[in-house]
Amino acid sequence: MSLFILISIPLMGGLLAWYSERFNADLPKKIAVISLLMCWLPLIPLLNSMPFDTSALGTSQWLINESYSWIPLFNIRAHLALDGLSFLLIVLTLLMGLVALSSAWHEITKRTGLFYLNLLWTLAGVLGVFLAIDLFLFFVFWEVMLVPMYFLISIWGYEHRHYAAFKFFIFTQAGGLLMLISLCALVGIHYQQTGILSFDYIILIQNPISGDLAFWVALGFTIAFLVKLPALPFHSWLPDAHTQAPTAASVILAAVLLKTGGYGIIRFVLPLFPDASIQLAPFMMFIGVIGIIYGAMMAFVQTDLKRLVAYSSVSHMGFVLLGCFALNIYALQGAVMQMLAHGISTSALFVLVGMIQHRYHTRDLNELGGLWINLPKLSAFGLFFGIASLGMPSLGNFVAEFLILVGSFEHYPKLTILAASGLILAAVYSLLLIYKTFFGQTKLPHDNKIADTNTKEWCTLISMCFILIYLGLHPQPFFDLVPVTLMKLSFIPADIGASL
Amino acid sequence: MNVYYYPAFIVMFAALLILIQLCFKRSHVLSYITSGLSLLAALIMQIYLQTHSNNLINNQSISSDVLFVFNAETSFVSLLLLMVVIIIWAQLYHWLKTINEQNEQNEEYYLLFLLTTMGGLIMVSSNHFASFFLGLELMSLSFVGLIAYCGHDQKAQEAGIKYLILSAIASAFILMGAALLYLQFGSLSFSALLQDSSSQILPQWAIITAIIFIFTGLFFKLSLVPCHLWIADLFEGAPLVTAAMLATLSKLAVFIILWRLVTLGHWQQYQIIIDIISIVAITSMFIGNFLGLLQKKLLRLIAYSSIAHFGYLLIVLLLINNHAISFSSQSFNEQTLFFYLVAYLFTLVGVFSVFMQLPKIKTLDDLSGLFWHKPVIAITLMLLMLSLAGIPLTLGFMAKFYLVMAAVSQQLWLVLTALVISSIIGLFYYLRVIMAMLKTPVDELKFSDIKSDGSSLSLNLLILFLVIGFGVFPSSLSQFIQQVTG
Repeated sequence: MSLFILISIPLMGGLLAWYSERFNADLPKKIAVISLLMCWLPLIPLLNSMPFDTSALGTSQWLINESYSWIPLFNIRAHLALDGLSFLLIVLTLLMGLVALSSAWHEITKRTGLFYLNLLWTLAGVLGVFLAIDLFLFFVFWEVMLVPMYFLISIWGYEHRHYAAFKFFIFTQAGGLLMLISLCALVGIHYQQTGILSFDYIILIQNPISGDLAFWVALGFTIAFLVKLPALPFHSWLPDAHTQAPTAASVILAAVLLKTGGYGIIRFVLPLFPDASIQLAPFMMFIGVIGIIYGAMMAFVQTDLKRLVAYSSVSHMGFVLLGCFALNIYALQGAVMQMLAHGISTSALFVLVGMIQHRYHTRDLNELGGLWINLPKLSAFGLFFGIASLGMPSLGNFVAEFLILVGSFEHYPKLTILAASGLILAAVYSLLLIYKTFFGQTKLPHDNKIADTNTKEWCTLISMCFILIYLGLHPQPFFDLVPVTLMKLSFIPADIGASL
Repeated sequence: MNVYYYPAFIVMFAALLILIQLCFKRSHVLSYITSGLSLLAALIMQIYLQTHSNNLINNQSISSDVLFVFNAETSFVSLLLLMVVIIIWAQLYHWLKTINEQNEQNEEYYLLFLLTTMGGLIMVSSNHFASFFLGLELMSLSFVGLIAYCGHDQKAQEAGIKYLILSAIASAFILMGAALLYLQFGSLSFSALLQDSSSQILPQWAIITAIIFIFTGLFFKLSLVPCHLWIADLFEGAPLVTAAMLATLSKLAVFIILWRLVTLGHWQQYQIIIDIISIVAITSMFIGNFLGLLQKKLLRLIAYSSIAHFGYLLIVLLLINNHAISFSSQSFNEQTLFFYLVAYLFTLVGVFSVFMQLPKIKTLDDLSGLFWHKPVIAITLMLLMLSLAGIPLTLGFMAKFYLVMAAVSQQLWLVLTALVISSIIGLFYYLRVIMAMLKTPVDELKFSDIKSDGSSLSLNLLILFLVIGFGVFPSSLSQFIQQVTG
C-alpha cells in the first residue's frame, strides 16, 4: 500500500490546500509543505536499509511491488513498483517539490489555494509516472500530470501565458496519443505472439515483441518520450513554456517533467524493444548530438535569461538521449546521473532567475548587470550554478557528461567528438550568463530596498549546492542504486556484476 | 402481447394522455409531471427487462416479431436512450419557463418530446424497414415541431424549415434504397438481408447503389460529411433542449440502425462500401474538427465536435473479423460501440445541461471568467470538455481507448492516423473553452443571473459522478456491457 499512499498524500494535500484558502490565504502553502514532507514517510523504511546496502538490490529489481485489479476486461492492473531508478527520481521529485514551494512562497499571492492544488497534483502525477509499472496506468499518469501543469502556466504565468500553455499541452498530448496507439499495438502484438493479454511491464518484458511492426511501435514510444525530453524537432514548446511559467512551475518542469522522457526511454524503450532500439540508435544519437549543439547555440543568442536557461536544458537533455541510445552501460549510468544533476543545477538557475525577476522585474540580459555589488550572496550562487551547468569537474554534471561521452565513444567516435564540442559551447553560454548578469557595469539604479537572499532562499540554494558537490565527488552510491544489470537490457552482458 | 413493448407503450399512453388533457385544462406542471412519470415508469420497466434478459444465455433474441427484435442489446440501447431523455427532461421545466416567459403554453412541447422518444424507442428495436421507417418519421416530424417551437424566433423557424426539407429528402433516399433491396431479397425484414447472394437477381452494383442510398439518408441524420451542412445552423437556431435531443437521441437511434443494417447484411463484404465508410469517417473527423476551430459560438462548436465524434464512431463499422490480430471478437466490437455511445452521450448530455444552466451565454467570450465566479459549473464544463477531448480518467478517454484497442487489433492504421491527427486538432478548441473560463473576468455582474441552487448543484454532481466516476473505475460499466453483448 505504501506506494499508493505516497501518491495519494499530495492529492489529498492539494484538496486540503485548496479548501483552506477560505480561512486564510497563507494556509495553503503551509499545508503544501506539510504534505510534501509527509511524502517522505512511506520512503523511510527504504532509506533505512537500501542506499548503502546493495545486497538488497542483488536479487530482485523491484524493492516494493504492489498490484491491484483495476479493469479486468483488458487485464489492466493498478500496479506500482519501485526500483533503484525510480527511487532516485522520486527523491529528486520530492526535493525539487520543496524547492518549487520555496520559490513560490512569496511570488504567488493570488489564488494561492488553487496554485498549491495544481502544484501538488502535478507532483502526484509525476510520482505516478515514476512508479507505474502497468503500461496503461503509466499512460494515465503521463497524460494526467499535464492538466494541472497546464493550469499552472496558463493562470499564474507571465504575458504570453495562454499561448505557452496551449503549445505545451498540444505538443505533449500529440506525443501521448502516439504513445496510446503504440501501447495498444504493443499489447495486441504481444497477445498475438504469446496468447497473454496484459499491460503489465513485468510480463511484457519477458517476451519482447518481434517483427516489422515492433520497429514502428518502438518509434511511436520513442517519439512520445522525445517530445517530453525534449529532443530537437519537438523542442519548441519548452522555451515558451519555461519563459512564461511562474518560477515554481519552471522548476518542476525542468527538474522533473523533462526527466519523465528520459525515464521512459530507459525504462520502456530499451528493454521492451531490444531489436528496434539497436535499429533506432544511430538516428537517435544523431538527434541527440544535434540537440546538444543546437541548444547550446540557441542559448548563446538569447537575451531573456529564462529562455537562455531553457535552451541550455535542450542542450543538456541531448546528452541524456545520447547516453540512453549509446547502448553501453557507462553511458546509461551517465544518462541517469545527468538527469539528476541537470534537475538540480537547472532548477537552481530557474530559482535564481525567479529571484532576480522578483527583485528587478526584468529578466532581460541587456538590462541586468553588475548584480554582484548589490546582491553578493545571490550572485555567488549564480556563479556556482552557472559553473555547474558548464560541467566543471567535481560537480555532478561533469561526472554525467564524462560518462556519457566515454560510453558513446565505443561505437560512435565521430558523433562523440561532435557532442564533446557541446561542452565548449556550454562554457560559452554559461560564462555569458554569469558575465552579463552578475559582473560588468551596473545598469539598474541602485536601490537599498532590494535585499539579498533571505534565510529561506539561502538554505534552499546551499542545500542544492551540497547535493551537486556530493554527486560530483562521490557518485558511486547512486550508480549502485540503478539496477542496470537487472533491467534486462540486452546490450549488457549477463556476467557484468556489481563491479561497477 | 409481448412484455418488451411496454416501455414504448407507456410513453405512448402518456402522449395520448397529455393530448386529451389539453382539451380540458392546460397546465404546464401537469404535463411535466405526466411526461416525467411515464418516462420514469418506462425506465423502471426497461431496467427490469434488462436484468431479465441479461440472465439468458447465448444472447439469443428473447422475442422477435416480424417488425421488432428484442434481445439484451436492444434493451440496453433503449435503456440508454431513456436515461438520456430523463436527464434532459429533468431540466425541461425550468428551461421552458425561462424561454417562454410571455407565452404560458408549453404543454405541446412535452407531447412532441414524448413522441420523439417513442420514435427513438421504436427505431432501436426495429427489425424491419417498415417499423424502422415509421419510427424515423415519427421522430423526424416531431423534431420539426420541437425545432420551430419558439415561433417568435426567426432563426428557429428557419432551422425548422431546413430540417423539414432535408429530412424529407433523406427519408426519400432511404425509401429508394429499401425498395431496391426489396427487389433483390423479396422482403423488407432486416433478417432477410442475411440471405445468401447465390440467388442474385440484381447485379451487384444495384445492391451497392441501394446501400449508398440508405447510407445517404442515415449519414444525413448523423450529420456526417458530406451531409453535415445543416447541423450547426440547427443547433444554433433550435431551442437548447431540442438541440440536446437532436444530438443525443436522434443520433443514437440512427447509429444503432446503421450498425444493425451493416452487420446483419454483411455489407462489409463489398470493398467499395468499406472505402466509403473509411472516407466518410476520415473526412468527418477532419472537417468536424477543423470547422470546430473556427467557431466562436458554443453550440456551433459542439455541433462540429459531434460531427467529429461520429466520425470516430464510424470506425466501429470497419471492424471485421477476417484479419484480426487477436482478442477482438465480434462481441468486443459491440462492446466498443456501446461503451463509446454511453460515454459520448453522457458527456454530451452533461454539456447541454451545463449550457442550460447558463442561459445568457452564447459565445466563447461570454464564458470568460466563469471559473472565478461559478467554480462548480465551470469545473463541470471543464471536465466535460476534457472528456470530449479524451484526456485520461474521464469517460471519454475510456471510450477512445476501447476504440483504439479495437482498431489496432484490426490494423486499421489509416483511420487510426486520422484519429490521432484530428484529435489533436480537436484539442485546440476544447482547450479554448477551458481557457476562456480561466481568463480574468471583465464584467463582474455578467454571471449574477446564473442560479446556483441545490438542484443544479446536484445535477452537476451527478454529471461529474458519471463522467469521472466511470472514467476512473470503468470496470463496472465495462462488465455490464460485456454481459449485455454476451
